[in-house]
Amino acid sequence: MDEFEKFLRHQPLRPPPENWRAEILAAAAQAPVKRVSKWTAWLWPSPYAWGALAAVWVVIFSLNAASMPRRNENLARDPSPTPQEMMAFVSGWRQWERELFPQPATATAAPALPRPQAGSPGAFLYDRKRRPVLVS
Amino acid sequence: MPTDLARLYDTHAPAVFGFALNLTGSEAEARDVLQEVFRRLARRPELLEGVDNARAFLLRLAHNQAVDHMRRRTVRDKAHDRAAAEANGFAPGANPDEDAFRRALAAALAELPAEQRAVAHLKLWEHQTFEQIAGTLGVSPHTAASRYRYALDKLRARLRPLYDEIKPPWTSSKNS
Repeated sequence: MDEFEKFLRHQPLRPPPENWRAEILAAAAQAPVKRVSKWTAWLWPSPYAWGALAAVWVVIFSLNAASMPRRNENLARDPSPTPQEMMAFVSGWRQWERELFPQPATATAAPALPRPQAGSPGAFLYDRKRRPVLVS
Repeated sequence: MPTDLARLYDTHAPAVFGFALNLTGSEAEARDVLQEVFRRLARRPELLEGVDNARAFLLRLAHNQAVDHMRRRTVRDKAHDRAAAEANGFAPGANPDEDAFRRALAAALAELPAEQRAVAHLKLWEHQTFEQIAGTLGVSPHTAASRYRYALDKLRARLRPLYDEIKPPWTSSKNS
């Protein structure tokens, strides 16, 4: 601090007029005391700090909620397959099943037997339309 | 509470008034600021609970009030205020030289931007540190220091001739 600053510091300020004291204190005494809620009294020393903390929590919850996947989005992401896709899937599945569990040779390679002629023994096993009749 | 308020007034009202007067440049507005500060204290006694430095707190209230007053001024009011800015915020001097210097000092302060005026006042006449000024005005200590340097340079440039004429005895030996 140089001499100029020191000199400025020594310049005394003018006090308020004497007659103001009674007027200002009287006006202050007439002012209604504002009732403060417990919340306000609790938050008073640092209302901005509490407000900022609350805002940060709101932001965190908002980001958390926004980042969670929604059910509708999952459904939209995995739509139901079309009938063609289902058929392709089933045929593929059967193909895979056939490859995995091959049928016995007797079942697949059985040649069709010639149908008996009318009047021959065994003709009673066929109906009029020449379809085989199941015998239980 | 009225007793506490009276005690607070007797202790701090001169500082609050001087700050408001230097800041607004208007005695009427300084009175409004002073009244509003003590009215708020009467309405909300809990404001001072937990406050370590009552003077700094009252000066902060006064600053906020003074800024509100200055913002509300219309163009016409500003023209009027320029004329009223010569309102001397300093006590009359013991001799004509001191008196002239204090009037010049008041005028030089009135020419400063309000934010520099506030910092200069708190530093020079409230003896606050830059950290305390930063808390009072709601700026950073660096900003407060910067504003103070600008304000002091302007005051020095403006008051140098008068200061050299009435240089106080304790400086004459060093500077001569």
